[in-house]
Amino acid sequence: MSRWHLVDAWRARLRALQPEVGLSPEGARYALSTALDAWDDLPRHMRRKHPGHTVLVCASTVFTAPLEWAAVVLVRGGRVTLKAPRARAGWFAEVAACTDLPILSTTDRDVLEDADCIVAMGSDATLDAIRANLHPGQRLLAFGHRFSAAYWSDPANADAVALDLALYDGRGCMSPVAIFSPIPDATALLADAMQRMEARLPRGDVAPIEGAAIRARTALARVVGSAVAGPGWAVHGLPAERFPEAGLPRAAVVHASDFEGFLRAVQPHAPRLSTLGSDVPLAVPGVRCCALGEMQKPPLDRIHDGVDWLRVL
Amino acid sequence: MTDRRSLHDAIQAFVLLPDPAGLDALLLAAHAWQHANDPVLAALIGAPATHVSDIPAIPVALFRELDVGTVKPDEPHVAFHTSGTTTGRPGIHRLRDTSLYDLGCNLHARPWLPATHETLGLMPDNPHSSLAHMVRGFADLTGPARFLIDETLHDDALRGLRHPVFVCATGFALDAWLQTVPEPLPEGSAIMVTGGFKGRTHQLEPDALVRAAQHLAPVLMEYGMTELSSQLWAWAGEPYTPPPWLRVSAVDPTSGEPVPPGQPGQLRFLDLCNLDSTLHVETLDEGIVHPDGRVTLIGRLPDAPARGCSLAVEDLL
Repeated sequence: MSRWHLVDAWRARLRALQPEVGLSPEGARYALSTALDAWDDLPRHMRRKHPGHTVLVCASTVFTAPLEWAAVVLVRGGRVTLKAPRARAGWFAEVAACTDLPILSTTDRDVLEDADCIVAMGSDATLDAIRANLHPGQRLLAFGHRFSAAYWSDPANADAVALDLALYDGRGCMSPVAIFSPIPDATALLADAMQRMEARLPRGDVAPIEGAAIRARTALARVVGSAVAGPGWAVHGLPAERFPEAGLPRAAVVHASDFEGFLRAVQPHAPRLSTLGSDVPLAVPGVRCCALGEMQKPPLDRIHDGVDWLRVL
Repeated sequence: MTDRRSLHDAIQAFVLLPDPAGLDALLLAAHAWQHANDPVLAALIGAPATHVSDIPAIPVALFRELDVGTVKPDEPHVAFHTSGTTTGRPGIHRLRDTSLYDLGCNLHARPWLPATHETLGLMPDNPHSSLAHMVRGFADLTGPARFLIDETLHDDALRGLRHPVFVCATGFALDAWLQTVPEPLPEGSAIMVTGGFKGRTHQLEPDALVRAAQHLAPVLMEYGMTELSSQLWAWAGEPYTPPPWLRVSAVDPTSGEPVPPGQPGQLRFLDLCNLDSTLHVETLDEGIVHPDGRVTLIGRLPDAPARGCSLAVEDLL
């Protein structure tokens, strides 16, 4: 069997898993299924070889993010170790155990010693620590915290915006931390869509500190803007000068803004932007731009945090 | 009572001679006055609350975002600032004067405070620090205050002492002092420990820290916040005791609904002495409010598990 056929068989087994990652079962299954769909494009990227041992440090990232990296390395002939955080050890052990491909999972940080290539997703402190301990000849591809935003002008796209906010409960760096919109009743429209989305893909666990933060921002929005909330979701209308750089699970921030205002607001953040979603044509150099509803469904072939990852790996 | 002077005097009288039966009425009167004079509170609740349980708790994060309280920034006031965060502006607690703060603080703390020759603050002497202000205020009982931290800890001032001293330390300053292998303090001394035990880079183990400090002198614990005018005190190992004018409750952090006494929850403080700012403050601390009103502090609400690649929520708060 070719490596692609083995990887494709692995994908089929991954689809059958029930990830227990803090999302609702529906949310986790949908996120996993969506991430695996992108592998359809994998055979086009097999030609480049990537032998040797690649360690994927999954310190702080959505639970599916390392899978596409692992798939590309495996399909190109390499072997993979997933360096899992303790809180996610069970999930990544399941991922590695359901294939005969050369992929292992561990929480042991010593595994980095043996890596030819390290792909790290985590906090700045984690990335600095890895960088400081690199051996000569080891390659590092490091991805730190980024954030995303969206421009929404057509009321018909409310459900697409809600999906971008709902996938991974909004904890991914491709999830919009803020929605800029000229629609007069954008918060009300989005609230309706968030409620529909909650029925389809319920929100998962919310940590106490996240719950406290959502209620604090609700209070802020009630003072300086508007707030609508329901079980499992919230929409906060805030002035654009209160653009947040971090999202809260299923708690949307809406800024009343035209397209020019959106561009003015996000451009200073360009080096730290992951994705911009929009329902009007949009191009920002070095930033992935896509349609609403697609923000957290990245295609395999894309600029990832400013890096053409399929070509540098 | 519809003006500040009469409210101030009534609160002062309550602090001097607490009458639990009169607390609700006084809280509601102060709340109604705040509602008329604090745009933040007025935006959060259309009409003044008619039951104490309906007085909105202002999350501490709002003190960094907004001018919370009845004091306008351009009018004369005393300002206490929270320590800096990654998000920039500190939280600011504005008071027209510190008379209620000082009165309540000294009256409630007095049973715990030692009579010493000198007060040694293991903290910077910052005019915007409510902690430094409180420590200075103990001088008539614990002796004049000297602050031993600027850029560094001047632990030499803690060696060779001959008279009893009252050492007031934040958790991290105490940890730094203990690492200098200090000698026991003179008989009659005491150590006050306050502040958080969780920093950006590491977390202290409070029990171990207190045990180590108890080899030097008896340890008492203080719980206070920049956003509050009143404090809670305890001997090490015991729950904190609030003053009669401070009511503590715990809520479910996700829903904001009260949890029963004895159950852990996110702490809220209804502080009658917060006349100039806002009475009801929601912290980011977790604790247990016991049926007798005393409080066991668990610590800051735990961080969210890393489930994504966006900035951590902790960086927002």
